[in-house]
Formats: sequence, C-alpha cells, structure tokens
Amino acid sequence: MAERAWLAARFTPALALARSNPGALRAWLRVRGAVAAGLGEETATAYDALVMRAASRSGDLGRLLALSVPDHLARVPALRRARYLALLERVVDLRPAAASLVCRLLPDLLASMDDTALEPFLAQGLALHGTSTREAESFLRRESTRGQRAAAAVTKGTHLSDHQRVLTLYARAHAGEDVEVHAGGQRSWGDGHHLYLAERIEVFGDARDARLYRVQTALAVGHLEFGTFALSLDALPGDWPERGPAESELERFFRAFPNRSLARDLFSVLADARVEALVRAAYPGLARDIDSLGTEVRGQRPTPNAPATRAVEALARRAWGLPGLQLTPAEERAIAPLEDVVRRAAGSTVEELALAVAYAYDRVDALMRHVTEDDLGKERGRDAGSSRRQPGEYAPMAPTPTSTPLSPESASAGDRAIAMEAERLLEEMRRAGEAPADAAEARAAARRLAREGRDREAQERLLDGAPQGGAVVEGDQPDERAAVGARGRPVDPDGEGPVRRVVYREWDSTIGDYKPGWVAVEEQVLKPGPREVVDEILARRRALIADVRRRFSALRPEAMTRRRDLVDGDELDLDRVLADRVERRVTGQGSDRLYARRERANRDVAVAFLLDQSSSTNESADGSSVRIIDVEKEALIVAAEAIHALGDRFAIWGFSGYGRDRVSFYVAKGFRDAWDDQARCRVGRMAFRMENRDGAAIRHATAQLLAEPARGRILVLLSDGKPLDCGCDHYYDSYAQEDTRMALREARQAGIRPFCVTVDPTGPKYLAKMYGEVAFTVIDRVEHLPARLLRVYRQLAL
Amino acid sequence: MRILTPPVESFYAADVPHYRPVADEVDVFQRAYRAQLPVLLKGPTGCGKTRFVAHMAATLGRPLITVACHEDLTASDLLGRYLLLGDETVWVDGPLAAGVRHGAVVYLDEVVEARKDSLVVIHPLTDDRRILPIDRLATILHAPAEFMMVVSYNPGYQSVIKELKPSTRQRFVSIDFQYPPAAVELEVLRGETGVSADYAARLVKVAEKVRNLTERGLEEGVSTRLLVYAARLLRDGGEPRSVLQAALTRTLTDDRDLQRTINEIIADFF
Repeated sequence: MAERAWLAARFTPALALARSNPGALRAWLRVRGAVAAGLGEETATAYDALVMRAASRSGDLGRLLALSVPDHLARVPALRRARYLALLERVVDLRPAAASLVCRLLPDLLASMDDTALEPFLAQGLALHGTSTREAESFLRRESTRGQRAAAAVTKGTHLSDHQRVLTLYARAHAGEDVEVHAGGQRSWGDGHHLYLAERIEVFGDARDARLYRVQTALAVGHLEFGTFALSLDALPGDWPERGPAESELERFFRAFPNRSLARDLFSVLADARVEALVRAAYPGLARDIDSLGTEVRGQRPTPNAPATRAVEALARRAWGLPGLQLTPAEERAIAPLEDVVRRAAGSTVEELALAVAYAYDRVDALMRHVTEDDLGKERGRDAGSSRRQPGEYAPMAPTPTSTPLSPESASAGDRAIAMEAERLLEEMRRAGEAPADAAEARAAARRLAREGRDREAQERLLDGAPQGGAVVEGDQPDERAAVGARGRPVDPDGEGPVRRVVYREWDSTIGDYKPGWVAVEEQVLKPGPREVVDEILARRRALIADVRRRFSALRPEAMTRRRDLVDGDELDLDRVLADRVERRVTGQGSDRLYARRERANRDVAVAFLLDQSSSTNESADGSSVRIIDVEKEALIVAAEAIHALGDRFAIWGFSGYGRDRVSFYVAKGFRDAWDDQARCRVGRMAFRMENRDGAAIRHATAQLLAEPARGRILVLLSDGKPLDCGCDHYYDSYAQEDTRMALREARQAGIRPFCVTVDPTGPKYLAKMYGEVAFTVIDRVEHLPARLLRVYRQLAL
Repeated sequence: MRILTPPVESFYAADVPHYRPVADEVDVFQRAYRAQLPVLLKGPTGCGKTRFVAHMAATLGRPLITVACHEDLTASDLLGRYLLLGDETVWVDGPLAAGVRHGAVVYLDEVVEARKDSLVVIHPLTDDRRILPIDRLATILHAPAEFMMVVSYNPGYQSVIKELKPSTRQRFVSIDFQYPPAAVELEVLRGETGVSADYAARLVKVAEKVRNLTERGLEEGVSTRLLVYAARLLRDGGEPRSVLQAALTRTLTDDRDLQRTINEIIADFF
C-alpha cells in the first residue's frame, strides 16, 4: 500500500513533466533522488511541486529550476526550506522571468531577513525586474544604494550598519587591541578579535536597542579584556587532550568533552557571568545602563523540557537574576557546584571556571543519559577517561541578546597564526626576563608584535598571488624580472613597504546608482627603478629641462608677496617713509610702520599626477616607435623638475590592477617626499602593468589630495583614455566611461581641479562625454607631451 | 642709542608651580643646567612639558622667558629690533636677547612650528660657544652660566615636514614625556583641581580607554591638561555626562563616529 502511494507520488509528477517538457523530466529524474536523500522526503515533495509549476509555465524554466534549486536549497537552513520553496513558487507565478535570479539570491536573503521584511523587499525587487534585470539583481543583492536603503527600510529595529564603526571603535577602546565588529546575519558570536553581531536588533523597538548593541559589545569584548580567551589548561589538574596545531586553548578545552555543545554552554554561562560581573565593576556607568534595560534585555526565555538543557537554562537564569525553573533534585545537585561559581563569578579565574565545568560535566551529562549517580560512580571506576562514553543528546541553550557565544573555532587562520606567534613571543619574553608583570599587558604586547610581523607576511602573500599580466618590463635588468616567491608565484617586482587597502564605491550606469564598497584599492610605494632609465631621460631632455627650470624659477618671484606697514623688515617702504615725513612736518606725529618684507606667498598648491599604467600604454602612440608609457614618464619627469623649481608641492602616482578586488595604486613620489634621485628612479620604475579601472584610482587620488592641507588642489590624469578592467565582468565601454566621469565629477565637487591629458592621437570620440565638465586635452603627437604638460600646469596653477 | 630690555622681575614666578615628577626628569634637567647644556622636551600635547619648565625655572630661582613658536616667527622676533619712538630710534631686545642678558631660562614652546631659518639663530647659543651674535647691533652677547635654553616639541601630530633638523636637534639633551601613569595622573587631577577621588579615578579610566583609540582614528589621545579642565568642570557641579562631552568629546575630534564612541566611553564610567 505504502509502495503504491510512493509510486503514485513519484509517478504523477513525472507524467505531468513528460507532457510539458521531456528535458525538464530528465533533469528532474536525475536529481530528485539526491534531493530526497539529502534534504528529506517532505522537502523533496515541495520541490517536485515547484518544478511542476515552473514546467507548466515553460519547459525550460522547469528544467532550469529542477537543476539549480537543489544546490541553493542546500544552503538554506532546514527550518527555512519550506519558506524558500513557497516564495520561489510565488515568484514563478508572478514573474517567471525572475525565478532563476531569485532562486540564486533567496538563500542569502533568507539568512538575513525575517519574513515580514523579506516579502516587501522581494516585491520591490520583482517590480524593478520589469524595467531592468541588472538593476533588480543589484537591488536584491543589496549592492546598490537603492537596494540597501530598501532593505533597511523594510527591516525595522536598530541596524548594526548604523553603529558598526562606533561599536568597533568602542570595542577597541575597551580592549586596547584591534577588535572588529562584523555583521553576523541573524546570529551573533565571537572568536576574540572578531565579534559578529546580529544585523538587526528589535528587542525594545526604540532607542534602547542601540544601547543593547553597546552592552552586547562591551560584554563580548569583555571576554578578550578579562582573559576568557587566555585560558591555560596546562596549569590545571586533569587529563587534557594534546593541543592540536594552531588550536586555541578554548577549543582544546571543549574537545576534552564528549558533548562539546554541553561543555560549551556550561562554560559560557560561567564565563559570561564572570565577565559581566567584571565589566560591571570596571564600568559603573555601563552597569547602570545594563540595569536600565531591565530583565527584558535577556530576551524571551524558553522553558526547555530536556533535562540537561533545563539545568543549563536554570543556571543561566540564576546568573541573570531571572525567576528560576522548577528543577528535580538530581538536576539541582548537578548544577549546585556551578551555581556556587556563578555567585562569586567576579572573583574567579578562567581556570577555576574550567575546573568547575570539568567537575560538573559528568553529572549534567548523566541527566540526559538517565544514568543514576550510582551508575556514574561505577562508570568512573571502570573508565577514568570519559571520552569513550557515548554522550547524550543535548539541545543547546537558546541565545540571549546580551551574550555573544564563544566561538573559538571560527577564528581565521591568520588570527590563529597571530595567537600562536604571540604565545611564542611571550614565552621568549619570559625566558629573557622581559615580560611585563601584568600578564594581560604582556599578551597584548606580544600580540601587537605578532600582528605587525603577520601583516608584513600577509602583504607578501598578497603580492605573491598577484597576477602578472605583462609584468615584466622590457629593458629591465634581467635579474629584476619577476622574482619568484617562496610559494612559487611571482612577487610584485614594483612595490615595497606596507600595502594600504581602501575600499571605494563605484558608479553603475546600468542601474543608475552607486555600488557601495565595491572596489578595493591597494596603495603601495614603488621601488626605485634602475638609474639608467632616468639618466637617459635627463640626458635626452637636458635642454628642455634646463629651459623649464629657468622659466619656472623665474616665475618664483610671482609667487612672492610684499608685506607692507611693518615695524621691521627687509627694506624701507619708500612710499610710507615719504608719507611719514610729510605727516611729521604737518602734525608732528608719525608712524613707525615704515618697513616692507618679501615673503613666500601662500601659494599653497598641491598637485598630483596620476598615471595610467595599464597594458595599453605599452602600445606605440602614433605609429612611431615610442611607447605611450615612456613618453608619459618623460613628461612627468620634466614637469616634476619644473614644479620643483617653482616650489609647489606635488605627488606622482600610478595605477593599474586586475578586477575590483585589487586596483594597484603606486606611489612614486608622495607630497612629503623630496624630489631627489630616489624619487626620480621611482618614476623611472613606472611601467605598464595590467588593466585600468580609472574610477577607483581617481577616487583614491581624490581622497589623498583632500587629505593634503592646501588651498588649491589639482589632479592631472595622464592616460590613454581607455578605462578598461577585464578582471571584472563589465568594466568596459560605457560602464567604465560613466564611472570615470562620475569619479571626476566627485573630485570636482570636492574642490579639486581635475585635468585629463590623453595621449591618443586617434582621439576617441567619447572623450568629451567621459570627461564631461572636466577640462582635458588630447595630445596628438606624443613628443609634444612634455611641453604641453607644462603649459597645462601654467594654466592651472599660476 | 637706547637699548630697551624688558625688566627681569617680570619673568620670575610668584611661587613654585606644582609639578609631580614621573621619572628622572627633574634630575636630568638639573644636571643639564649645571653642565650648561640645552634641553629638548619631547611629548604629546598637554602632558606637562610647559608646567615642568615653569617648575624647574622657579626651583632653580631663574627667570623664565617663554616663546610660543609659530610659522611667522622670524629671527628678529627672537633677537630684537629697532623701533622708532617719537623721533628717537631705540633697540628693543627680543626674548632671546633679553634671556641672555638676564641669565634666564628661555623656553621655545613647540619649536618645530617656527621657520627653520629663524631657528638658526639659536645654534651658537646651544653649543659650547654660548654666544648670541646680534648683527644689527654689531654686538655679541655672551651667555652667563645661569642661562639655559629649553625647547619642546610634540613628535606626534606635527607633519613630517615639520621635523626638527638634525643639526638643530643634536644640540640638546632630550627628555621624553608621556602621559603620566594612572596613579600619578590621578594625583595630579586631585592636586590641581580638588576633584573627588572617585571622579578623578573615573576620569583617568576614561582617559585610558580613549587613548586606546589613538592610531585608530583619533589624532592624539586625551591630554592630562584636558583631564584637568574636565575635573575643574566636574568639581563645579553639573551633569557629568554633558560636562565631559563639552570638555573631552567635542575638543578631541570632529569625527561623528569617534564622538559617539567617546561619549559611550564617558557613559561607561559616569
């Protein structure tokens, strides 16, 4: 009977599919079994219904969903899968064309939004889909400003994004270490230096939710501040497992128990209580704020039935001062030793907490396994190590808004490496007798050292991974050709010193909106190149350079002003002296302000040259043998000599890159660097690299210029006029041009005078549009560039 | 021709200003004075450099002439200049010339702010010549044994351009200043303002936490001087959180997020 029902259940949909689209039938048959096996029969039946519905719309859609839904469904938590399928089914009905997009994006949306928020948000996204697929995708991905705004509007409550930076700073102030606050979707957890908080809090629905974020952060970072993560098991009696490579002590501690989840909950209740007590004592104002939030701050507490969960819940409630649960005598006895620890939490060390958990664990575990205390005694006699006994089933404690569960296992490899390095350094310091008396301080110092070393390594690793499109420059010395790093990948031959990474938004003309945080720019100082390159330019352009130096130095006095009416100065001001004599004759009264002085005027101009180092600059410009990049370099050196003679401040930057994750920004000469041989050699090192994502480079240059205190700021962009980044799907043609135009416009709005010099004799037609209101000039013969650049500078700056 | 020098009495302190030593700075200063060596004080703003000099000058019984350096400070501002008084031309000593004549402690505060060409005039005073040539008077002043040159600068926030030239810098014995340790800072707050021990302790803790934010967005941590101001306002009564927002938060930064953070730190303790 059951078999028949099963057959019917499979057969009916199969028949329906076979009628609408044999391709969809084949696809469905191929994966259906795996769906049922992996996700359960109930989900599989709902999946069947969805595929049928889609196939009835269009055979292709049915086939597409049949194949793609299972993968995306697997990413959705079990409890939300029915919701996923139901929503997708509605999309199939309302806007089948959007179904494949929604099928892909829905899992992420489900993870971060609840139903009341998700439905209106999805509806807006679908409405957009009618006008532009791409706009709808950016919206649903919450990459566009519009999408982010809409997401914030539909989700009520207090959003982490509004507080993230403040909370990060706050956490750092408390810990004195580099802590970061991240969005953790609907959950929160922490691994020490990274706190993941819920993207949204709506416990109170008013300003108190923001206060709750602060309380949560203070308590979470308290674990770092007051040493929960600094547990040291070796100091404790007992048999602890060997420490794994890069394993933290907390992980090792939890691993010592058959039921880690239970051990973690027990330890967390104690550690939370200890940290809260210490935080309250250290920050009296914060303690008041915690109290002002009332008991509601702990959220709605469940009343669990499972014995061990009940015991843990009861323990937690007692720690928080909430009304308790009725416990059985056995449960009471199981948690009694822990309760004692909770009561004097502030006075305990982390090691004492760990010992208490180790002591109580067996009894709490026994509650689940329904083992009496007598049996437990016998078990202990038989087998000293508890690890071989079967743990009971344990339902983890319900989360509370004030607590950020300890999650040492989520620490990144990088953080682990830093922690290990810090321990090693601390050990060394101890051996050398240098360790500060305060252990926490010693740890912090060791971590700082370790982190600094690690940062350098990370940079090296990053550079190792850099793709090397056209990286080897013709004419470079052979020994400078792409050196091969330890990991077998080429090391960036151009950069030196630390890499600074900054993220910028990008204008997406297809959706008419910015994509926030879209492009990462990595700034690095260029290594000085071989002298010969520069010497050759200086020699070849000797006459021009001598000429511009003379002409620009001659302009210098224009840059001086004469201050008059001074009581003291370099020269007597004849006009004033005469006037004074006359005054004295007539009135007998004179002035003492008879002097004048020549002073450097506040010329206060900062000019930056931004050089496009993309591979297209490797081309020769107008059929001649000269490469664009070489002429650009030459022009830069000549211009720099002139500006140096004039005494203005200037910087020379270059950019290239590959993809939105890495726009390389090279500093050949910063504003503060002297224009000396080293700087000249750095300019000499500038070579064609990969792609050019002009928008990001202009935005970074703008930011740097704005940081430079000056009254007038000029940005001269030297490029071949073809923004293009193949490392990313659509940075070319009008998208790239529009982004460049917007970036230039932003610069102008920020009070910078941008000027674009394009070395492309073919003079692309879109230039006028791309540069928009920004002045530009097209150099038709490359050889004219140096002289032309000087003229431009005179126009702009004098 | 008359030469006018400001009277020496005006440069003596009425009584010895209070200064709480942190390390061996008092000893080093006294030794430098005895050895006729100039002293360079380095440290963040408001950590007690100026107070220290005032204290030392008074302890040594010397007049103190302080010059706050700035970009437009010229050599003649330091040396002196001719002035017309009615029909008479007189020479008026600048602080450096006056200091040498009086055998004073001359203190150039924030010395890197001064133009480098102006600073060259202190060179002959700060090596073993201990002379001050004044070209326009056709005079060379010889510094008496009591004369002492003290300069200060803050290595933290001045721009890289404004670093002290090595030729200037290597003429000095240097004393490093930092914000005092918590216990000393607490004592200073109480001594300077009479604020309650409880408030003083909380203020010191706020300072400790806020100082964790330097290098993370905040240009410079909260200074002891600023804490003293805050303590004065607190002692005067007033709602602590709002008083401290005025005295600390808004003074320290214009960055909105940093302001919110500092306010929350204040709220942690008050």
